[in-house]
Amino acid sequence: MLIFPSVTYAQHYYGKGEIYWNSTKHWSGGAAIFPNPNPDYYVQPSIGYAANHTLWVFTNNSDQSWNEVGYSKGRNLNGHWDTTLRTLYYAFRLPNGQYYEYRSSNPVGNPGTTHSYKISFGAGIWFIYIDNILQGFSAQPLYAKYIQVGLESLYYANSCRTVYSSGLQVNEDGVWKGWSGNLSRIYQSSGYHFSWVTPLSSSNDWNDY
Amino acid sequence: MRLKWGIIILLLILLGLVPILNSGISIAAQAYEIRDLSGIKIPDYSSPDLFPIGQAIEEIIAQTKEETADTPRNPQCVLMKWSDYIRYIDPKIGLPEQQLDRLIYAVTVDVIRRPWEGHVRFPAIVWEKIEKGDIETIEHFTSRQDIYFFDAKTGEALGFGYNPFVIILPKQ
Repeated sequence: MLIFPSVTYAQHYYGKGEIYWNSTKHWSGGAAIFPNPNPDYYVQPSIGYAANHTLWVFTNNSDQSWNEVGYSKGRNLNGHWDTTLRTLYYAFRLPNGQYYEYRSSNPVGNPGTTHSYKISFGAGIWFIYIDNILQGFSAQPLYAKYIQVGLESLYYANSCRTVYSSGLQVNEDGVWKGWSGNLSRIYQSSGYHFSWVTPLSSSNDWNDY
Repeated sequence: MRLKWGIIILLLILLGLVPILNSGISIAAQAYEIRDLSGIKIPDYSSPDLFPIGQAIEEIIAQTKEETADTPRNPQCVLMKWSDYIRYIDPKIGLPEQQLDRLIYAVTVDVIRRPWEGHVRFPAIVWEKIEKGDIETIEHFTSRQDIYFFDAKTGEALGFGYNPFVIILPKQ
């Protein structure tokens, strides 16, 4: 375990699942449907604390760059960190090391409101959609080697109620299909849980707090 | 006598390590690129109804001081349209056409952020490597400059980012 030597640091806690390949597959997109947490997450009121439920689709056949889209609670607002701010968001991590995260202008809706999330590739560009509305795009190389969905929290005791994901899709060779038939694994930090409800088709995740 | 000197030397070594570990510089900072865009001139979009961004910049610097071992410096701010940003600063990203005319403030602050000092929402596969102290991954995810985007009319925070290089912003 690394001892972080900084002034303050963020730890990351996960309850999420992943599909991946070892023999090359031509993955050029991922999709999921999930509701806003209901009851909503409770995020500890301190700078930098947040919790999010996200779809990650990697790029460039690597684990160093990706596109992401999802629901988030806890965000920088005009210089202040606000742990009550609920947003839909999307982000890119480019192969050259740049990371950009944007607040979606789509209305987040009440707890329990369901949104669809999709990341797909076309003509050299990765496009990010929420409810089929284009949010943004980034120029990154193909292909996705990993696709993940689930919960990420920046404090162990953030109260993250169960979120149910469904409609998990991957675009392989230009065709959208279910996640089944692929290698998979789950990530569970202490106190955090992820389970497949229908193997590789739907899932849920939560934190005990 | 030899044992006594040995203990003294050991104590000196250990005491010398304390400030290094506390300073956050246990991993050597690598050289980084500077992208000087100061020769580019952005049209002057200023108008009386713009949001006063000065306070938000001060708050960003204050928060960054709390989050990082490094000292934030050289804040820059430029008023532009999203389309200017994509054209002149970062052509690798894009936004829907209806947003391109939106006036924004792009604010940068130069600061070294280690992966655990920022707000990247890491995929678990990456964070596991950082937790294990994988130097290559830590260096790869260390940034040199923060960038923030605000709606220039309302002051709404639109997004933020981390650059592995330092951009000198275009001039107005």
